[in-house]
Amino acid sequence: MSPKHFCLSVASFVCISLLCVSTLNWIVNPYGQYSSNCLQPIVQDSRSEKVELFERLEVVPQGLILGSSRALKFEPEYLEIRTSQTFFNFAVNHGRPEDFLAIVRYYRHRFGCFPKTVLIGVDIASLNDIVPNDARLCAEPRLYSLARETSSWSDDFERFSQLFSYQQLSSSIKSLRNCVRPAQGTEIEQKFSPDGVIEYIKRQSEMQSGTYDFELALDFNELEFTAIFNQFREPSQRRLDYLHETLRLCKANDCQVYLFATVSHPRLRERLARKTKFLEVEEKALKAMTKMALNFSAKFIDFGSVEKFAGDPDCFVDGIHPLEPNTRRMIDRLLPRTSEASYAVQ
Amino acid sequence: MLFNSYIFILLFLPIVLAAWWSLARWPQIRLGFLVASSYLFYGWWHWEFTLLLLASTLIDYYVGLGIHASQSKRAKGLWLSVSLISNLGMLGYFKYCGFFAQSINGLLDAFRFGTPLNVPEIILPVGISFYTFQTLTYSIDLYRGDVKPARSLMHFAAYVSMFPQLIAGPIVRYSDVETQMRELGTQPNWAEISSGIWFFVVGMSQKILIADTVAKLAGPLLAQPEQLQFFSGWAALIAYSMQLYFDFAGYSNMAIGLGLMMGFSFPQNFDSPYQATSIQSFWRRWHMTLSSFLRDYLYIPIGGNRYGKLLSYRNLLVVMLLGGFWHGAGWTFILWGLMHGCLLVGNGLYRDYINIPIPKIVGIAVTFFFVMMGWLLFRSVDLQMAKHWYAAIFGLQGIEADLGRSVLQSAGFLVAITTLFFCWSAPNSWNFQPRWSLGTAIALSALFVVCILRFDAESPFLYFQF
Repeated sequence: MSPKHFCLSVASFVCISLLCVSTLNWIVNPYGQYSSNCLQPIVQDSRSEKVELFERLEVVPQGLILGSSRALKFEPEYLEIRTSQTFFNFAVNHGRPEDFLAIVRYYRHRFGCFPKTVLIGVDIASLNDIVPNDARLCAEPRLYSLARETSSWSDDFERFSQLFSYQQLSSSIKSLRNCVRPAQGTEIEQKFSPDGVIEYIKRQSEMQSGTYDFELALDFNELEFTAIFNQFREPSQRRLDYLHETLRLCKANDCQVYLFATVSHPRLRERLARKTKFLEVEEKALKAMTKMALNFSAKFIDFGSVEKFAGDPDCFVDGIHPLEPNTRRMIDRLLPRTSEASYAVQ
Repeated sequence: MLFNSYIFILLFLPIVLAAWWSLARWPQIRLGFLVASSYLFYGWWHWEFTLLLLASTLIDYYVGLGIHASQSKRAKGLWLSVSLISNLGMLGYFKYCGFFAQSINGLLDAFRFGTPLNVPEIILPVGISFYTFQTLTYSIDLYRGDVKPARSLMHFAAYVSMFPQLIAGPIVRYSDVETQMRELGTQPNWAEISSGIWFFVVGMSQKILIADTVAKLAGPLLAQPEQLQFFSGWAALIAYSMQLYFDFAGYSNMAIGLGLMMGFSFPQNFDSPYQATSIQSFWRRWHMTLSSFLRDYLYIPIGGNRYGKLLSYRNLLVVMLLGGFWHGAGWTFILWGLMHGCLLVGNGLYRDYINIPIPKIVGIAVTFFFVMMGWLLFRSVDLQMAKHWYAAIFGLQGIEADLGRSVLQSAGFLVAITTLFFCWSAPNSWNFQPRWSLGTAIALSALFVVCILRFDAESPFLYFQF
């Protein structure tokens, strides 16, 4: 074979293989990221699920709870007792400021007005510049269209390039296999109640039976966040801008915002502080959020560690997800029963 | 931008290669395009640092003109000092400022004077150690009369910024590419492009399939050095030794492959270093372009081996110490350099005074052992980590109750051990001449596609930090 034919052969084989892989991934669409919907996505997409729940609500909620999976246990019922307002928990997995903006806009889009109250739980890790917009936000057109002007072409390219990823290919094959031989009796790991609160079915049953491996979960969090905080030096200006815009929009429409930094388990904090520049980044992020909250008359409290709200280290699912006793204590601090003047502003 | 990223493989590379060969009839436009695309490649990470690259280029181009135009040795020397001060100053500021401030604070604190200096948090521009060395070689070679000045600023800018080798070498001297830049091919040389594809895919496989796989073992183990024990300590050390080699050699092969696809031939950077039978031989095989740089621009100018054995040993120590410091601003790198300096001196003493031949296999094993002892320092983020790791491999932190079964049976360790035997026995990719057949095309394409599928986990090259 001549070198020229060799080069052309390599180029052709590579292009054909990549075309086959990407076509398969696009058709199967295992994460529900693309417009094709021949098969059921294999991952839970809390954004779409939350939008569905929200659209099914019979009473317009007066308040929203926004945040990441760390805010999924904030109970609208408990908030209602304290504020006499109805709430919906619109926290989503890996929720970042771009999600908050999209959801607030979505509320207005749906009801023609803004909520009266919004609680926003911000993870320090979510303010990084390393991770692009979540593909699941991009895949949920009802939200993505409302965050669109703040998204960049790199998000679209990211989604496109994932068509060539091994992870997606293996998920596509798994999805096809599920389609041919549906798995029987698969245990449901978690589900959302109609007001948006998560129920960790599998994990809580393991906790009750004493078989839950908390250490393993903590190690997993440590690995994930060590990788993030090893590269993370400054809070992302792009993500602070999203948060800024969310607060501006709320203030301009008489919506009271309660902003808080979400909690991590003391042992995870200790490990991250030892191995990464977590504390430095946290300080910078808290400073930026405090300033922003002051500018927009929002209440801001740092719940980063359990001491800040007399939390219980035993009431965590893992290193980052608090259970109800802790979320209730945070709500108690955010919305004390005493007069408005005594709200803590830190 | 990383070679192992979708943006590079799916967009940047096809566009640049197509445009490069389409513009063959217009050499100046072609070079201009290469410079622009290289700046885009570099600025993808932090566009501000392209200004630094531009400054280094402009300074050395005009210094080069100054040296060439000067008649006296003194005037040439003055021009050269401008280049040395600016390049080494830039490197010193971005790479070593924080380290010096920290070290002075540490020293003063030890004498209870507190820590009076602010330690600046300066972002290290990626590749600065490489391109400052390249521009330096140009000025020094001009001063010595070894090369002619670049034909135009565009030629010189293309040489400095050429994206295949910009970030982590090989360190290409202007004399290596001078003729190639003057006589750019107008027709694609398909044999060279085929070799380029071969090198590129081999390099990418080394990085993605080997280095990144063994990194999954080494990374988590080294995250908690105080918990390392005997088997985990050794597993981490072997895995890291493999990771570093395949990561860096992979990058070099990719760079060489990209160069060939564009009609440039870059110097070899690795020659199966783990097959070295002595430390001296190791340094002739590992990061060869750096070794030859240190030899030609440091070791020989400070005397080399011209003034007797004792001074040549001193020179070796100085060169390796500075070579270690070049790799990183930290005491572990200084110690690593010093250790290799001592090993080279020891090697010289053995050769000069004992010189009993040792079997090849023993030579390889002993050399590899000492190289690994050095990698331990090289990888440690501080002396505390090195202390824990050394203690672990010598059994001072205990031996795992399960005799390290969980670590030694992991996929990462099996890959590390398999590749280690491969490194000891297989021929170097430079000595391997593939047949351009359909079978080779299918095999290379399959490897390439597998690598592309693994791009989803971003993994920068280890040498980018230098």
